Amino acid sequence: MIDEGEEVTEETLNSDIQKLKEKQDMLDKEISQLIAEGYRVIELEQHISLLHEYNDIKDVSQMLLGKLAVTRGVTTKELYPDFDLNPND
Amino acid sequence: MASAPSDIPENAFRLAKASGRCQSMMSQMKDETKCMGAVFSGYPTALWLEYEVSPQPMSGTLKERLKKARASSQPFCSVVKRIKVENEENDQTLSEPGESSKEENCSKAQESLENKDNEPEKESSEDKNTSESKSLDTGSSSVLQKDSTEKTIKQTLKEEKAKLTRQVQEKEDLLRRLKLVKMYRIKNDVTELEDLIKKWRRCGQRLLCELQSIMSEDEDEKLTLTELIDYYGIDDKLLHYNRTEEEFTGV
Repeated sequence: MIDEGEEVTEETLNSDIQKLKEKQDMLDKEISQLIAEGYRVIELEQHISLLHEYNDIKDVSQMLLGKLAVTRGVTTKELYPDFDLNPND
Repeated sequence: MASAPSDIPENAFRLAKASGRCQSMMSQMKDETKCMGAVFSGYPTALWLEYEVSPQPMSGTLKERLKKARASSQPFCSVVKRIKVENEENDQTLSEPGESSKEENCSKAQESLENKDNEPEKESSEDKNTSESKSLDTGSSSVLQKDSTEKTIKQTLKEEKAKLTRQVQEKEDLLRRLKLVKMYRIKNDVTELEDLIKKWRRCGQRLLCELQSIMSEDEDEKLTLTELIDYYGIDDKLLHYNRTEEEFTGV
């Protein structure tokens, strides 16, 4: 018995390949534009590294602020001016 | 009238009755039942009633059968066998519609019995089957070759599609990263981020010094910065603390 019920035909494969090529060309165009504007992937890695460091140091300092506030009997926010801190920092 | 044999088994009567009832149900078989009735002409009248057949003038063929039946000294069991043979003949006759003449029916039955050898027909049918199978083999082999070629082409196309799919995914990932870089530039300037980090680090260092002073007010319990950092589980690198020198190395 010959199996003629295959899911994929040559026409389907050729059509899919054509669509993928068109999508690839579009992506190449967008990527070239962003690179021309001076963006680099390595910059993303630097950004992520700095964000990690910022989050860590802020957590430690806020924890220490809490300890000091308890000792002095005040709130954490009341200590901000003493350490030249803004609520948005 | 001859008397019935005394050693006739009951089973024989049942077989005879069953056959008779079957025959009586077929209206188109009246002639055949007459033929069969003739076979029992030498037995008690009661058997006639089982077949619901009334005496009628007999044809030449019937006369010949009667002669044979009377001449033979077959026991009742043999008669039962003959009934079965008659039934088979009737079945063969049934397969030929349009046969209504009793004489033709009897003659047809005899001819079919004489021509039981059907080998020539079987041989001819076998030859046809062989030729058909050969033609099928030839067609399937050519189709298989074509199918193999098509599968090779499809395999190539599938591989190309998979390759393009991977390339598209890689470029989508690169594009996403570049867009993130663009967004980060808008939201968080690198210089500003570095300034914020220094601010919080300086704050952390000052806080540790303050806490050390407070906890060392009692002269009996003076804590070092190292002990305090360990107590709070803080990473030295994070606050730029030099454990050897026991001091901070700048912001």
